[in-house]
Amino acid sequence: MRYTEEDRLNIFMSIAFEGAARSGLLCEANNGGAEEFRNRVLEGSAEFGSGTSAAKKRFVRECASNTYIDDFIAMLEKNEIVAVTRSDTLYPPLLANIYDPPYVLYMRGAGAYKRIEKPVAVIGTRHCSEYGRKVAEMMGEALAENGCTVISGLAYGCDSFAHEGAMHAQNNDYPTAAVLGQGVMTEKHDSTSKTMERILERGAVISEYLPRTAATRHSFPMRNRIISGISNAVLVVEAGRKSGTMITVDCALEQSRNVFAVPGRITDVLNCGTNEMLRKGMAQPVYSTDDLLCQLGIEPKTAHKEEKISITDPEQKRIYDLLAEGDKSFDTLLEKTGLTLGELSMHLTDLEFSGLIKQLPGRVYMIDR
Amino acid sequence: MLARIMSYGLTGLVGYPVTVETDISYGAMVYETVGLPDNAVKESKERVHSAIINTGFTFPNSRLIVNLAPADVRKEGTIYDLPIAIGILTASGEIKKEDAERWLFLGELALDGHVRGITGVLPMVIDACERGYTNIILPRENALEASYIRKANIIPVGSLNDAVLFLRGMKHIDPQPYSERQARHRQYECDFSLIKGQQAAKRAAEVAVSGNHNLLLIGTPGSGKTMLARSIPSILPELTNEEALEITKIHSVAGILPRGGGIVTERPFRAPHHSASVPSLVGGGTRALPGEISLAHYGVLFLDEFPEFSKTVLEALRQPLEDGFVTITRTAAKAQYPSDFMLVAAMNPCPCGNFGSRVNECRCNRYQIERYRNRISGPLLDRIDLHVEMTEVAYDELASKQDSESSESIRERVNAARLIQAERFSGEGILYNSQMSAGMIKKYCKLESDAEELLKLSFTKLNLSARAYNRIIKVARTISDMAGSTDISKAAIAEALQYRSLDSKYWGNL
Repeated sequence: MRYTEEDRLNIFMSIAFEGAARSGLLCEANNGGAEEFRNRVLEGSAEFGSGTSAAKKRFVRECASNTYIDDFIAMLEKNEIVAVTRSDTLYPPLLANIYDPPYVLYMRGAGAYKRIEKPVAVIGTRHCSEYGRKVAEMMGEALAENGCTVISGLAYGCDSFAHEGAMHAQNNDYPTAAVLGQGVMTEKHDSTSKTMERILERGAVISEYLPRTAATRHSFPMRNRIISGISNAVLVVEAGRKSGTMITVDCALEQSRNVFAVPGRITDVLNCGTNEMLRKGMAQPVYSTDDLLCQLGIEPKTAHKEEKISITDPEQKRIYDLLAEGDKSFDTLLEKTGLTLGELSMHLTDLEFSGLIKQLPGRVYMIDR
Repeated sequence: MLARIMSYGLTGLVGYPVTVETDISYGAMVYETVGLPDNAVKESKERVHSAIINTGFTFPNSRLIVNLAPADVRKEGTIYDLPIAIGILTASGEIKKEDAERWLFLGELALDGHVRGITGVLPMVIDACERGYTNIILPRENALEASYIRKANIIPVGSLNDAVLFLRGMKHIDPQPYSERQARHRQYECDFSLIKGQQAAKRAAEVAVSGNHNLLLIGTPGSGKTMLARSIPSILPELTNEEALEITKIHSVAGILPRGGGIVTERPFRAPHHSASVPSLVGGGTRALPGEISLAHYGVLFLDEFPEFSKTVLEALRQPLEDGFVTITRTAAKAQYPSDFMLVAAMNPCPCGNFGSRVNECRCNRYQIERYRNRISGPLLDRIDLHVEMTEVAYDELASKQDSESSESIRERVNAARLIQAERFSGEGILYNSQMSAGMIKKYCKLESDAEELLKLSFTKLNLSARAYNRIIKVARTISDMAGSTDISKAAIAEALQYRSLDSKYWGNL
C-alpha cells in the first residue's frame, strides 16, 4: 500500500493525538492546518493547548520526523495492518462527516482492503439474555444476507452474537466489521477472541488506536462514536437501564443516524433500555428482520425461510407448541402437560438433543431456532 | 492410706478406664496431682478442696498425692473432680474402701459441693459397660443421657454429700431406670407442604434423600434454596437405635446435647456459616474435638453460599465425603470420628445472584462469574451427584394452584426406596446407591437399550465428562428404585441428565 504525503500527515496526527481526535483538531485550528502544525512542530514553534506536558510535546516533536513515520508504516506493513486515513477513498464517507472523525482507522483482516457497503450497526448489552442472543444473531444474519456489513463492537454479549450471526450469511464477502476500543494487535483474552479470528478471515477489525494500545475505561465510549459514525443506521437489540449501549445511541442521534430498537417484554430488566428509547422517540421499533430491511430501504433478497418442524411424538409436539407461546419453566410445563416428571424430562431431553429447544438457567425452556 | 477409685477418660469417641489413686501419708501438707493432668484437671484441686470443706468433711492436713493412671495419657476436663474427692475421703477414712471401689465415678464439683454435668458421658458409659464397669455414679444432669444403656446401673447424684451418704448406705438413691428411645413426634419447622411450586427441585431432593446422594441447589436469591434445604430432614427416614446412639456419642463429646436432655432423637441439621474454618468444619483443636461434618453424622450438612466458603475448607471436605469418617491428629490428641452425612449445598448462579434473572439485572462480568464458579473444584463437584437449578419465582405463574405434598408421604416413598437398596446391597457392605463402586455399577445397573442410546448421545450433545457418567447412572438407579423397576429406563436416564446442569454446555460456556 502506498501512502501519500497527506496520508502520512494524518498518520502523524493519529500518532500524536492517539484516540483524541478532538484535541488534535484544536491544535490544527490554532496552527492553521495539519501541515502547518507539523512544520511548526519540527521548528519547535507549535502552539499546543494549555496543560500539555513537556513530555507530550517532546513526543509529538519526535514522531513528526519522517524517519519515525517511515518506521511506523514499516511496522504496519509487517503486521498486515492497513492505515485508512481521512484522505483515503476507503475511509467510510459517513464517518468523515462526524464532529471529530479519527485521523486514521487501523484495519486488519480481509475486509481492510474493501469499501464497507451499506454499514448497519447492531449493538446491545454485554449481559444479554438468550432472547437477545437469538435476535442479535437473526438480525445480523438477515442484514448480511442482504448485502449489508454489520458493524459492532465485539464486546461479549449482543455484539459478538451480531458478528456471529452476520458470518452465517454465505453470499456476502464483507459481512461484518468490529470496531475495537483497543489496538488491533492487542489480544483479547476471552471467548470473543475466537469470534475475532473468524472476523479477520472475512471481515475487518477496526480501531482508531495505535495497534498495540491497551484498552482503558475511556476508550470504549470513544469507539462508540465510530460504530455509529460508520453506520447508516443503528439497531439496538437489548439494553438494560444503565447500559453502555446508551452512549452509542446518544452518539448516533448526535450524528443524526437512524436508530432502531427491538421492543421487549415490560417485565424483563434487560429490555428497559430499549423500551425507554422507544417511548422517548429516540428509536423506531423493529418487529422483524423484513421490517428492519424495509425501513432501511432494502428489498429483502431471500424469501422468508419457512422452516417446517416435524415432530412425530404428539406429547413433544404439545410441549413445543406450549413453548412457542413463550418461555416456560419446568414446573409450568409439568402442570400444563400433566405428564409425570420422568416423562417430561425424557421429552425435553429429546427435544433438546434434536436442537429444537434450549434450556436456560433456572430450568426455563425456550424454542431454539 | 491408699484409695483406688475408678473413673473414665475419652480420646475421640473411644474411652479408656482411669484409676484415680489417692495416697495420704505423714509429712508436711502437700497436695499434688500427677498423671498428665491438663489445666482443668489441675484446677480440680481448688474445687475439690472447697467442696469437701463446704460439705462438712475435714480435708486431710498431711501429704496428699493424687495419681491418674495410666499416667502417660493426657487427662482432660472436669470429669475427675468427683472421683478425686471420693478418693480423698476414702483415703482419709470417711468412706469404707470396699464401698467406694465397687463404683465408677464421673462428675464435676461446684465449690459448695454440688455435682455438675460433664460432656462425653454417653460414649464413656457405653465403653465402660463393655469393659464390665457397670456400676456408675454420675451427675444427675447426665443421668438421662446415660440411661439408654441397658446394662448400666446408673446412680445419679446431685452433690458430694449425696454420693458419700449413698456409699455409706445411709441414703437410698434409685438407680436411673433404663429408658427406651421414645417414638418421637416429629416436629419440623419446615415441611415440604409449605413449599409452593418448585416441583422439580422437590423431586430432586426426594431423589437425593432416597439414594443418599449429595445435592447442590443453584438459584437466584429468594428462589427458596434455604427453605428447601431446611425441609430435607423432614423426609429423612427415622433414626434406628444404633444411629441415635452414635449421634448422641458425638454430640456428647462435643458438649452440644441439650441440658438434661437424653439421647438425640432427630437427624441433625447443621448449617455452619461460610466463614467457618477448617478445624470447625472437619474437627480439631488441642483436644481434637469433632467438627460440623461429624456433628452432621447421619443427618444433613447444609452449606449455604457454597462458593463463599474458603477453598481450603471446601477441599478438606473431599476425603470425609468419600470415606464417611475423618481422622484428626493433633500433638496432644488423635481421634477418629464418623462423618456419614448428606451434603446439601446452595449457591447463587453468579456473585450478585441475578444471572439469568428476568426481574433483576446481573451486574457481574464474565470473569467474576467464572471465578465464582471455579471456586468449587471439579473433584468436589464430582462428589455431588445432583445439581438442581431452582426456578425464579417470576416464571411460576401457576405454582400456587397446585397442592403440595406433605413430608410425611414423601418419607414413606423414601423408606421404600431405601429398603430396596438395603436388600440389593445386603452382601456388599454398603447401604445406598450413592456408595456404589464402578464394579457394582456394572453389576447392578442394567440399562434398557433406548436408555443406553440416550446416554451415549448425551455425551456428545452435552459435553459430559467421563466422571459424570457414573454419577448419572447412580442417580438413574435411584430413580428406577423409586419407580420400583429393576432395569434403568430411558425416562430415568433423561431425568438424571437433568440433574447435571453444572456439567452441561450452558454452564460450561458462558
